[in-house]
Amino acid sequence: MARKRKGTRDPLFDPDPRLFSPPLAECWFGVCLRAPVSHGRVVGLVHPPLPGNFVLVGPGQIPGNESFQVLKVKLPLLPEHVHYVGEPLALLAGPDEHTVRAFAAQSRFVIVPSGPEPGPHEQAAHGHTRTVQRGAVLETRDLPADCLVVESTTSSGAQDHGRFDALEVLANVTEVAMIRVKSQWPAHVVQSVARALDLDPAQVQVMATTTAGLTGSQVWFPSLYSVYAAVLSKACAHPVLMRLTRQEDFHHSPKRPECRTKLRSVVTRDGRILSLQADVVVQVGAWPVMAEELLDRTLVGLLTPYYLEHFEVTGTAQVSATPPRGPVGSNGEAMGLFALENHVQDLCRELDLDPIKWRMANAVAKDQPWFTGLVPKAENPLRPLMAEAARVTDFSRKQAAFELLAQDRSRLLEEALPLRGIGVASGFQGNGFLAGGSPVHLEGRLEETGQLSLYIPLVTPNARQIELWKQSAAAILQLSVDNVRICPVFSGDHPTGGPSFASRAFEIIPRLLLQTCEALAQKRFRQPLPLTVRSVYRRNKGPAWDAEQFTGQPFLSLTWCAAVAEVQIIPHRAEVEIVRLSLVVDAGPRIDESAARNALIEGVQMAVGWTLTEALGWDQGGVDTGLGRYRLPGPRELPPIEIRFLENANQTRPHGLGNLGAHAVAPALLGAIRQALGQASSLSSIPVSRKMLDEALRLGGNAR
Amino acid sequence: MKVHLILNGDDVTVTAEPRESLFEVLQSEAGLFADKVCCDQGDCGRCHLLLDGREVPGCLIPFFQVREREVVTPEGFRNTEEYRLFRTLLDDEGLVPCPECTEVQVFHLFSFLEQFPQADAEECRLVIGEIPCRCGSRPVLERGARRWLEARKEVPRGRRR
Repeated sequence: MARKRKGTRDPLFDPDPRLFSPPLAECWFGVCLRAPVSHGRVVGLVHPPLPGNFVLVGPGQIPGNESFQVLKVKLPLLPEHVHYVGEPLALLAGPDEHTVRAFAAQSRFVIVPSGPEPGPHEQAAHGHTRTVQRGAVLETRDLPADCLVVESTTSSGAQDHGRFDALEVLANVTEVAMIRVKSQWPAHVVQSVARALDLDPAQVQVMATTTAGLTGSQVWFPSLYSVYAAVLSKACAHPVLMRLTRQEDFHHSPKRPECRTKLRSVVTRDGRILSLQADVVVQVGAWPVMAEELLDRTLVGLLTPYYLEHFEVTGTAQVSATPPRGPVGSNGEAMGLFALENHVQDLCRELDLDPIKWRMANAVAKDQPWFTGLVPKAENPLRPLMAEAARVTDFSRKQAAFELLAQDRSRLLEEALPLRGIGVASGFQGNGFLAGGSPVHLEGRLEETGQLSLYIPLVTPNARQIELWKQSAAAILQLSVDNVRICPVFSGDHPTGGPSFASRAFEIIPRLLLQTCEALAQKRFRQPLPLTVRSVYRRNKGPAWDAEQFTGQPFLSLTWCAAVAEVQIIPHRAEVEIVRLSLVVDAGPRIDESAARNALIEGVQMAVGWTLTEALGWDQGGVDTGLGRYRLPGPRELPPIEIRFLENANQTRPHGLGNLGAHAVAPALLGAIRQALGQASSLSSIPVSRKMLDEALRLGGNAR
Repeated sequence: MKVHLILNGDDVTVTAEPRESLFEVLQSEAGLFADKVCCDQGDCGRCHLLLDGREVPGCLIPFFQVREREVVTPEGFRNTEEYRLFRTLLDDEGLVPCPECTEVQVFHLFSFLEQFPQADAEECRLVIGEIPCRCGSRPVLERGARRWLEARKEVPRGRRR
């Protein structure tokens, strides 16, 4: 029997089906009426006569708080001033979806321009800059003898989450609000809806849809549309279904932010970095939603892998009149790592060093302080990973061979023969960023009937992961999996998810689950049933992460990998063919090998798309690419992906690995393309378009 | 407009607007393709169905064109013995189900394998790539397709299901 206790609900597994799934005939359909321009003041809405039973909700008609809050940032709900193209300015609901959509299509806002159109990327988002410095950065005039300066500028583009099941919300607001939505952050949905409807959070219940584990890291976006659907449901006194078409979702969902990084390093002739300067600019769109975390993670991505004695990095989140961005595919580390690894490649070329050996020599060692000032307790797994990557891909021989081939590039181009290149990059995934806050509790209760109930906070609605938890618990207690029940607890007194939600679910919950089940196994034949065991996770004893100073421990743990990409460029088609992609990973023991490989491949595909096929830009405040032209990497771009797990005796616990591919493959791929093109610095931005390749090939010849 | 068709083996009559696509009608009137959102451009594969045995994108087929024809959707296919066998084989290969694409991929791949039993590994790879998805299940599907074809080759002609 489900236990009742204060602050505990069971909405994922024990919902009231009648409230969450009202008959479709009773549902009304909701749509957003959006801004057609990127700035101005709304003075009116021209629309055909409104059918008597339709409901239109405009500015000033939100029953509760008129702002939508994500961490520290507040966005106005249905504002009178437009901030970007596609911003919802009014909501409409009616009993028939076709009519509602037709009505919306015929409605036009009257908007008076307020000043000149804001230029793109012109101002730093207030409060969203970071400058971190350690030691004294070397200026050119202070260069020691036998040192040189390496400079690079890299940029990476926006990326869509690429999920085909578009956002869908069903809200049923009576005295309480029932929301069915695909969200990674159900607790944020609860808070947002309660705030907008002026309800107690206990009056809001959320049920995840079947695809909830796969929202492509939209994080806050489903919460916003849950608010819209709930507001409409309250206004029309019907359940409201709000579903975006795939096109709508593509044009209005948050994208991965564009990032531009300038790096300047002073290095010795043997490649040691004496000082590093970085200037990072991340575009966050009209509202700096989660900009702080994106920025911090980008900088952490830059500073983590290699030993840096002196550094000065500046990060700026810039706003523009375009839709707000979000963490897609990575929360920022990918952008920082991409810039750093590209810079390392320049450095190795400049000094004629083997990139694998350079990485092995410069990875933060056991006795060297990390950028936070802390000294790692264990050996950095990057060295064995790099050695293994070099061995399995025959990297050094191939790199030398392709360099030799490159000397005859003019002939290859004349005869339209493929140009070949190989690239390597290191990558890491930080698990549990900004870990801290309140302790996390997990409670296990074993009944006389053999039924085990696990009361778990931070539950991901990912069915596969829940199944793994059940299997682990069942194995320890020698129960049937059917006798294990996972009961989510949304108490509101622990971190409510957000970008590190998934990695916390990997890092913390399995530990607690293991502890709880082992304790139950020890007690079950010594004490009478039912038995209850409670495990608590408290922040580790190391110093807490200080985002202002960049000190302390930013992650609970790190997972490392080495990626090698081999490509050939077909000159007459100006096309990149990936010949081989290899990933060597140290993630500790795998709970489920298939799931681990699947997650890594997913990340690799994301990185290949980011590097080659998924071009996305902005034109007059809106997405300039049609959905039909936005291409996820297909079989032509994707070779068989080789994954090797390195067995490491120091890693006794499984660690998150889903983002590793997305983090490490893009720089390896660009490195390979650059070697094939034979130009040290001409190509430094992704996605690499056919036009860029064509230009590079025309400039090519024997240039190095 | 009323249209009579054979839907997943049943004689049905569906009433809908002639302008609507087959996908829209099957979703709204027959409750099929639950939770699927389609690109409406024939690209995404989420609305694929068999029309008289040929795989077509449901979003590009006007509803009125299916009068007196046979339609099989992934839901109908899921109840067949072939589906069960093929799915078991894929699960053995370590398929991690993707809530977005697995069902569509299995339907799409199986239709292809039935139509082209002599297909080679590269053709299977290209067919699997026709359904765009972020998930990492492609290698498993490729292995599964190869095994399925090999198993079919071992069955003497005339004994295939």
